[in-house]
Amino acid sequence: MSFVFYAWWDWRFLFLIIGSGLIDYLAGWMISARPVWRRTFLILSLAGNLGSLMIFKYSMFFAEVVEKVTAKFGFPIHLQDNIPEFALILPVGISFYTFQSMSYTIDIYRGRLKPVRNVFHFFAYLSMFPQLVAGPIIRARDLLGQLAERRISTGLEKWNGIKLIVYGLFQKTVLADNIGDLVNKAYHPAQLETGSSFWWWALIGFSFQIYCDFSGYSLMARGLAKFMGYHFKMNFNHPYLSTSFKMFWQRWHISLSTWFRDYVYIPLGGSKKGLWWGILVMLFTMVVSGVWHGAGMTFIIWGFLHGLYLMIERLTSWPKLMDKHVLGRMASTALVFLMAMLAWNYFRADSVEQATGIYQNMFSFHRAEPYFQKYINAFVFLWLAILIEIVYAVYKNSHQFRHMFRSLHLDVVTVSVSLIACLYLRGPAAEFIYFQF
Amino acid sequence: MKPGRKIASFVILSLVGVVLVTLFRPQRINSEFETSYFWTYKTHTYDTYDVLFYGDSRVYRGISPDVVLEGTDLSGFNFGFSSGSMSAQMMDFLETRLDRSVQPMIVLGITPHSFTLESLKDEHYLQELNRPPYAVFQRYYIDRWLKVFDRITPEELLGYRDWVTHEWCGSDGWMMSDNDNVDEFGALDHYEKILTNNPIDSANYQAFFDRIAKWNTEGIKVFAYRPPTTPEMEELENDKTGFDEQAFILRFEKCGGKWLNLDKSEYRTYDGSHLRENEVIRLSEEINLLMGIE
Repeated sequence: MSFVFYAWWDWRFLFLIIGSGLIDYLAGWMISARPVWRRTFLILSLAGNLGSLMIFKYSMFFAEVVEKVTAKFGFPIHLQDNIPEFALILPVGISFYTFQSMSYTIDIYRGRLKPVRNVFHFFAYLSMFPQLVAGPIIRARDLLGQLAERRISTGLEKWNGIKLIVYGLFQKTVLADNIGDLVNKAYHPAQLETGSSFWWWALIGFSFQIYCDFSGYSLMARGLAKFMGYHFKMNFNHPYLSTSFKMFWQRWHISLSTWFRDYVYIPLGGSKKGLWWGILVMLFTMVVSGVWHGAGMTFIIWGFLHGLYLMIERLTSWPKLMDKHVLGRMASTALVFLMAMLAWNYFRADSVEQATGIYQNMFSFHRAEPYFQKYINAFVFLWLAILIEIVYAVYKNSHQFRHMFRSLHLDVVTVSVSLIACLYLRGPAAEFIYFQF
Repeated sequence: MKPGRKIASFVILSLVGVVLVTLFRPQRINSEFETSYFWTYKTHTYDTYDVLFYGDSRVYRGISPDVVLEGTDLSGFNFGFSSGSMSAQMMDFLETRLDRSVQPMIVLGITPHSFTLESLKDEHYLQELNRPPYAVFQRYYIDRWLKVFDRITPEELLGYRDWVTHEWCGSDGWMMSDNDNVDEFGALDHYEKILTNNPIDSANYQAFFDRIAKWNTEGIKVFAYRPPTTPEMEELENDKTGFDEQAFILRFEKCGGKWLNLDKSEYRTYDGSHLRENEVIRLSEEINLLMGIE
């Protein structure tokens, strides 16, 4: 069923996921069976996965960079025109399933996992349709055990699955897609607005659009899995309520940040080889994380900015100072959101020039032409998204609120209202942002 | 409450909610499902018509074939697209939609932008043309029946209808659009930007006249007019593109076409580019008179 789901997009790339999966399945066995050659087979597995990423995701970017560099030195070469056509198509989900596959072979290499016997279980793990195209990135040791047992979901799991699916659909179709109308028009090349307040709202809008879009998809993936009796870990945990960037990255795209922590940051030494080595490794990890998101300078800068935020945090420990008082924690939350929001500009912009132009508009304090009426739909849903986060923060911190919610079974009402909202308040149709990865 | 009961309660509550919303929803400003069918039909239909109307948004929003052809036995359809160009691709497309059995006619809405390089990309038409087959099937056969699930926007809920452009899809290919918040200079900045570094493509311009001459020899009557906008918009378009309307008319008529000379000062737009609904009706009636159709 997962293969049918994937082939629906483009059946030709089914062979890619099967091919790279087979390499890793066999590599897993060879790592376990031939300890002397384990490093070689691990390298083979990594080369296969990273190689396919390089070809399909980064070939154009590297060709562009090489062309620019060689042109600067006076011997121009033309690489972009020579890239084969098939390499220009980005297979859906490639960034996710290659990372998932690499974690399998790396964990076997580290002795944390035994290779799976049943090849169908392996491919079920690799290509499980709820999370295949946009995550979360599931660790083999979390899912393979579940796949080995016959799963019959309980009534409670079905209900929780339905809730997650509907809430996810609400976040994506009602919040993200409606807010996206403002953001897409703001970042369109024909956009003429130069007023500061407009751009501040556009960036706040994108911050919530990307959060709701991606969190919504993750919730739906988890809900579908739960409905079938499988458990995926949480991938987003209200990151905009974080009081530090360390906390932000423990709450944002958790499956990816933990993947980079376990397979890049820690193997390079992490914080165990001294403060400055730890900071250097952290910067490197965040830059690589930026590159994972996209083949472009804007993504690299975005990753670097977050590395910088983490570096400043580690050096100054400012969140600990502000944590002592509730007003301090509120100020931390606002500051973390502000800095994350400013970094999102690079993530969304088509080029460094566009991002720079937007910052100039934001900090020019030009008066904007009236725009509220034009984007009222988007603003209503943006404020709703902000309100939902505030209500969640209250819910989390109030025992009475939680008790009342549970005792009155208000989840039935909230899920029903969310579903009706999905039917009637959905935004203009838009693809999932993270489908581009 | 047991999970089974929660699921049952959720289903019942949701159904009740859907019924209530369907019964008490505010009046639509536009219909998403009708719009998707509208564009899919325009692009993918095999139906042919005696009279075709074509051009960019000033045509698809700005002329009603039903009004133009009222009282005649002729069938007509508005095949205008957003930024519809006068490219060979679109001219070929028109030829496939023309019924040549009676008296075939083509009416073109001429704007300078429709001859520019950017317009020649035909992005809107190609977007519709290149939709996957299942999407075309869904939009063509299913979407019409899903109008009950049209989106409800905060504007509709809050009653803020005045500044929103209302749109309604006509069965003759005309998309009726209007906005009570009239701003006849509203579109100027946008056109200033899109016409900058976007010249008229001379090769395509020449090919256009060759096509008109070819249609003339094939017995197709070709009419053209410049959709009314504002004097400021016309001046901007002419300056930016170098478009010479008089030279165009001379050349067009030399190729066998008939130019429809409108009194453009009589018409009002809602945004400086697109006519108000009642103005479209008036324009369509005038086009009927100028074409001399009986």
